[in-house]
Amino acid sequence: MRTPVETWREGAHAGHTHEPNEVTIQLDGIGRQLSELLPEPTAPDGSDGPVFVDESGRRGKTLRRLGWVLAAVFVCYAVTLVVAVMGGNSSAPFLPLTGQEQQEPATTGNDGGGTPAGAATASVPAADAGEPDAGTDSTAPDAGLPAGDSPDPAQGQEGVN
Amino acid sequence: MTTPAPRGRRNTHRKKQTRRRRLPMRYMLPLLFLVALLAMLMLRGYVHSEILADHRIRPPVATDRVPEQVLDGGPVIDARSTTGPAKTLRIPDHRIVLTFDDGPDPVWTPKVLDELKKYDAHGVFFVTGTMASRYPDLVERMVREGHEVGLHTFNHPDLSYQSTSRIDWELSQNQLVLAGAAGIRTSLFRPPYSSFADAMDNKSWPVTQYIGSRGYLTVVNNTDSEDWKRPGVRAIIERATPKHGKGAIILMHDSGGDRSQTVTALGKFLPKMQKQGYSFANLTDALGAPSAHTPVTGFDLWKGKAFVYAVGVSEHITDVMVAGLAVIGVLVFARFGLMLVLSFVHARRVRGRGFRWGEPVTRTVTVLVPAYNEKKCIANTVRSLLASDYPVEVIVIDDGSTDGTADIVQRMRLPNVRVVRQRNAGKPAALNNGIAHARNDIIVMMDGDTVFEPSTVRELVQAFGDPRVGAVAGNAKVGNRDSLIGAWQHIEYVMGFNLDRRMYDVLRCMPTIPGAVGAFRREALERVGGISEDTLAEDTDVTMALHRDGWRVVYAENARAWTEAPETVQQLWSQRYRWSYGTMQAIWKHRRAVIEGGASGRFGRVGLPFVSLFMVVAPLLAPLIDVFLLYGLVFGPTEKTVGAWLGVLAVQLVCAAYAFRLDRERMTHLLSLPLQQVLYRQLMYVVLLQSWITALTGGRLRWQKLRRTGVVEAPGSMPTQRGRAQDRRPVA
Repeated sequence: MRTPVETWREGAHAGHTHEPNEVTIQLDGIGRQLSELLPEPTAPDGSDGPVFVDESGRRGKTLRRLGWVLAAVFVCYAVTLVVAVMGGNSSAPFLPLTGQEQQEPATTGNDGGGTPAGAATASVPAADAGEPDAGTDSTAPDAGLPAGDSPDPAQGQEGVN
Repeated sequence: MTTPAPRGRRNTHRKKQTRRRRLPMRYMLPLLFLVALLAMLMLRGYVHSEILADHRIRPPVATDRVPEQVLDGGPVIDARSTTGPAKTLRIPDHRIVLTFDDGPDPVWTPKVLDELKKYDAHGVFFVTGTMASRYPDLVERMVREGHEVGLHTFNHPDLSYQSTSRIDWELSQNQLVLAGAAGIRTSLFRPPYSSFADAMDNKSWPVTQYIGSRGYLTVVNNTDSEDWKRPGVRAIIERATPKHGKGAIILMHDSGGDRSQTVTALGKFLPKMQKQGYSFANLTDALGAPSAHTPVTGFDLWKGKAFVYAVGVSEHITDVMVAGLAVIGVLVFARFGLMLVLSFVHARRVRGRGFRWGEPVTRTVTVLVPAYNEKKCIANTVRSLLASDYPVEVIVIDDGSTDGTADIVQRMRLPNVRVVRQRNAGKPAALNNGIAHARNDIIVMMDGDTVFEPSTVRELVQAFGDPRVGAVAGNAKVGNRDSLIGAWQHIEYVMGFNLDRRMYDVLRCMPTIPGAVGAFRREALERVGGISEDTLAEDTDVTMALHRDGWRVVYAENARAWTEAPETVQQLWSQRYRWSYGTMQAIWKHRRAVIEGGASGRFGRVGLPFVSLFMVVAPLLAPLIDVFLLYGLVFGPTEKTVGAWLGVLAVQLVCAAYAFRLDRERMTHLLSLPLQQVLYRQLMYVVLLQSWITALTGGRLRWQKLRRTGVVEAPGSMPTQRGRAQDRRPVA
């Protein structure tokens, strides 16, 4: 960061000392001279230098590091949004159906793991959710589970993804 | 700190004259923040359907181009085959598929889910992307409890009006949200504004065909409960009941308004139908098909999660920002109210017929004129002082000028004018030097380029007739008010500074006495230790110190002094940066007053917070006004936004007009007030931001001195403009 610290350094003269500002000339004609001059009351007792200024630069360094972190966060956030909103794949995973017939004997269909496999055939009628008399097979009602590893015990076909 | 020292030494130009090859972090970081904020706001507009939303609904058209089997067929349309014709499926008898559109809703969807769970029923939820992204946990619950989730587009537009790329986008964004919310991808779709299968017409059929070509099953309904009309629980149940044991897809809504009737109806409908032998299943269970959900893994999953997370972040941050906006709104209006009321009180009091400060003050006073390279103005200044109708002793303290300022004054050989020379040490040192040389007990301080009126000194010092008064603030006026930037500052001085001062006078917490025209009791100055160099706003510093010492600080409205305000943006920037940073330094320096007792405590607990609130916090939050203004103009309710902004402008105009009237100024300059709101205020934001950054990082400004074992560096006693002949000194 170039600003304040460096701009101060620019004007600095290495090793330069400055006399106290005692050089004044009085011009009121009476001829009083420097002897009566009070030393310049520059600051109240107990003043500890300019407020906020951190000579060692430590605070600045820490904040600078934090600044980089924040900058990364902001950039990531903006980029994520742009990437997400730019669109993606609009297609649907293939859902095997035989049509209106339900009673067709079928091998257990299973959810493709995202691969539209054309090999799946008609599925066994899954049990109804709330009805005691199930369909022809007693399968566990497992439709709709997201991580669809639902081995169908009923028909003994491959029921694993 | 990556900048190596050699680069600094090699480049001897001042900061602004070079274009560094890298943008410094103090500008880059706020810029990046702004970019992220903008992205976040656009996202919010997007998921609240404030942008890209299309609310048109197509009226029905002819149906001759829709295949017969679709019009006469079941509610599930399978148009996926590219070779064969479209097929439809019906729901088998005694099965009901409940479908809920437009969810999830934070209020009603949980209740619907509870009812379904109570009766062990399942259904299908056709969710919109916007709602699902805002309430992803509800979507996850739907999936977890065994329901099915289908797409209902992202923004709910009528797809017959949209291009295929837009349709693709709606679908893919909707799938993205589902992936992030529940980790699934679905194969079910219901178009917005759908109805029965026989309602398919020449405009909506091509949409269904396209959707089918993307692999979706289009699911419409064959029983409309019309619950969105809120016809009553009994009517809903009656319309939802399928006839003669047939299978049905029932359309209901879990979002979009008050769905209490829907929830109540479910509570009755579910057990009633189950007793009659129906079962409530989700679509693929009812059809005997495998689940419509496919798990999502890998990059797609993380993309979805990131998107949903970003939406969550944007919702929270927007809530915080809205709260901030409410705070700043309250502050702005409170400040205006206080300003108007208290200025009125002040004016009434000091202009009242019987008003006296105390005994009239007639003794000679000292006027200090600290000067650095003021050869153009110093003669005028000194002469205007001697033209005063009040006895004064003038001391010109020459702060090591290089243009012969002191010589000019000496050559004038005026009585009552003394010149004190010192090595260049800064304004505070010059003033302290002047105080040491002063012979009177009342000291008036001004700047080298200020011009007093003949009555100024008299008006200023009358307040010292009251022995409790330790300092008096005068009425600084902008002389060069005819340029645009001058007019803005003129308005600011009259309204912002002088109206403020009346308010602060009544509240007894005046934060600053203008450096251009102010008067102090010498005894008070000595008690607080003179003018300190700890801050860049030494005037604010000493005024606060006086408050803490128990002195009253008042405002003399008739003590007018004329100054020249900065004419260029750089000069203005420089001045305001100094003031802003200096004020923050002064507040921080005197922070202990908050816990002290007595007069100091009174100032610390009333005055200091008040000043901090209005001079530091409010300007920090003020950018929210502009952010929301922009957001409202682009996304939101445009008329309301413009109305609100005009309302605030009107309030400001009233305040400014009152201020101008109190000061008997011409109102013509108020014409530039609207433009000031758009340009000038924003400049002040950047100044304040930079002040905060400098304060936090502990950097040193070039006007600050190095105080280390008596070695005093002098980067410049007054803020020298780079290479300019005339130096503008700050007014206050």
